[in-house]
Amino acid sequence: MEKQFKNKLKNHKVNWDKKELLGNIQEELSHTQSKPRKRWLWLLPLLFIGMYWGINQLRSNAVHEMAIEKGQALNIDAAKKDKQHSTLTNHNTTDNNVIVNIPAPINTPERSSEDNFMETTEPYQGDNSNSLRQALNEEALHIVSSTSLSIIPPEELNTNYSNVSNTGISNSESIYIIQDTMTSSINIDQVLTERLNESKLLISQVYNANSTISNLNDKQKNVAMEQIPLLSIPTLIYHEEKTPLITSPKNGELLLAESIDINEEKDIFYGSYSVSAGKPFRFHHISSDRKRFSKGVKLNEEVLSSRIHLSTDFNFGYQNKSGWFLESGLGYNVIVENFNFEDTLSFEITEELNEKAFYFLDQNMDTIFVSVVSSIENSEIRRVNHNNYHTFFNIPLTLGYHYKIGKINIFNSIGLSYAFGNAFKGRENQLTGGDLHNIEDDPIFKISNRIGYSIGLGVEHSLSQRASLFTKVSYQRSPILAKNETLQYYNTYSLGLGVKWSFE
Amino acid sequence: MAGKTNIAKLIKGCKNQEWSAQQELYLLYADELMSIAIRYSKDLSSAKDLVQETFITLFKKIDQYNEQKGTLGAWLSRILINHSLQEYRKNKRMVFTGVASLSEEVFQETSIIEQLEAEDILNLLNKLPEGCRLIFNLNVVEGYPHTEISKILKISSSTSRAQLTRAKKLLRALIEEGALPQKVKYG
Repeated sequence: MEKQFKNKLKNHKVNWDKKELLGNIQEELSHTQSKPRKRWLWLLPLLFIGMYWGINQLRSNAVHEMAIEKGQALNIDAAKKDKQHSTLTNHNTTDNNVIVNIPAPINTPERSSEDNFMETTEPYQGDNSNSLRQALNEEALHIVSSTSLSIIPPEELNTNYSNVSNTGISNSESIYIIQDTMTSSINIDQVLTERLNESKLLISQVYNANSTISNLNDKQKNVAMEQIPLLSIPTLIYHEEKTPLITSPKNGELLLAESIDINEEKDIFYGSYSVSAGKPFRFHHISSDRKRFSKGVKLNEEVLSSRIHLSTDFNFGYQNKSGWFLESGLGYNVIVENFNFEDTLSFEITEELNEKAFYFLDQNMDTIFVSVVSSIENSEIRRVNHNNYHTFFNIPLTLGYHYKIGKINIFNSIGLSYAFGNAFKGRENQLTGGDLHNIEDDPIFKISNRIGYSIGLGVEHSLSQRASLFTKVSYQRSPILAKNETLQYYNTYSLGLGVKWSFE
Repeated sequence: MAGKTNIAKLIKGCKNQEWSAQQELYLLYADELMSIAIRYSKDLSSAKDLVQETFITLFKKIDQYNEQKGTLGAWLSRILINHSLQEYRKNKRMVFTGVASLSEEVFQETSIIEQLEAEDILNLLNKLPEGCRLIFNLNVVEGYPHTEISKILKISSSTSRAQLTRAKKLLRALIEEGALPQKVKYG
């Protein structure tokens, strides 16, 4: 019977339209082949740089408004100051206050906070002197007006300005330096001698002009009460708006158009806290003398899938003026894996078949009857689906560098980490191969190599002088865990968010 | 059947994910696989699914094919049978029931079987319990020994033998009764 069945079935041809399946197969294959391979991970840095750019733009508008408010506040304070502080020659008195904010002279003593501004009711008109230029150190006067302000065109600087603040663009901040070739008289009621803070200077034009300016601050002992000529120095114009305020150069000395950051970089100590989440990818290493575990590892790979790597870190660091930083702290990591296992349970049922028996003759020629026993195996399939958790602490040591591209504060880092306190909660299968067995009391993983490493790229956004927010994408390799003499580790691509606090 | 060289060329094309080669290989083996698939399926639609899955697996894992170990046809039929077994494992609770009163009497069925067509046999096989049918197919038609069947199905060899005996007995009973099921046309 078997032979006939086999022949007939083997030679059986089914009539069917085989071409109709081709479309399905092609569709399925193209779907599989076009599956993206985590390429989105590489877009993350661009995304966050874009986000940072947007936030920075919003923030610069806010700073501008704050500067105007600050100017108004200083005007009010300045009005209360003693008129004796005036150092400028008064030709035209005005009711409008202009705050001139100049950088601290490099050769003058530290000023106290109350010296931050001075008040004058007189305009200034200068002869030649090098002092202010030296004092300014080629930086700019910073003029803030709550009402309006104009950058004075060079050709007009020979005239007296009785009211600078009435001549121009409203609600703006401007900086200008009068050239040594200029002569001018500008009425300034109040002069703020506070160093510019967090402002950007735009060198708009350079030209020669004849101008002099008196010393603005009688408390600057070395240049007190004298009129100061300016040498030929760049005219610096600062304006939050994009339109250049002076467009016509004089004497043809058109120069740079670049951004200067006048933030003073200094060494800082800081603390930071961050959380991150990422996709871990598990890797196994089996040494050549442990190949017998290969099958078990492979079976495990089929039922285990890595889900997420969560980590939280406290770090303290030091950053020097040039942007290099070194930090260390404590981190806590959780790697979650899903165990999805179709478990086949087999059990035997033995039953006696009463209708048949074997018999044989023993050595005494007695007949012995033995009943037929049939062993029947039943199989049952159950699905085991739950999460495994690998947890460990780590002490990172990270070296990095901060740099700016335009307004974007970017940092990259590379680091090592030392892992300890490893724990495993979950289920794994035996690595000896054969049937998969669900083992709950398997020996836990041990750390074989405690050193992991990471690299990262991020952007930082200042919330205030001390606080900043940062986000970074990073690649992290976990320490190597060992179980039943096979080694495994995780490569994680993660996205983190953190806050940083600078200490004085 | 295409020559060895041609098949090697097609395999190379498939490894390069060339659709034309994949298409040609499919057309070459589709009928052969369908005749196997139909034995492991309840109906033509399931058999088609099985064939489709087999070819998708083939094209995805063609790099793993080693011609030293056997022909492509044999490899394909093994993939198909594995898929079929996976389906059993996933969807069914496979129970091999007890073997009751095995009769060893000689069955005079030869003449009747000779008159049966392949489709009749398939219909008869479909009347068998799944476990029995599977083992009958694997052993009688595909020629797998019981030791291998026991590994594939994770059962003991004696269970495999017992199930085969049961399958034969049930088939004989069906033929003896003359109660052939209403013919289902495959294709």
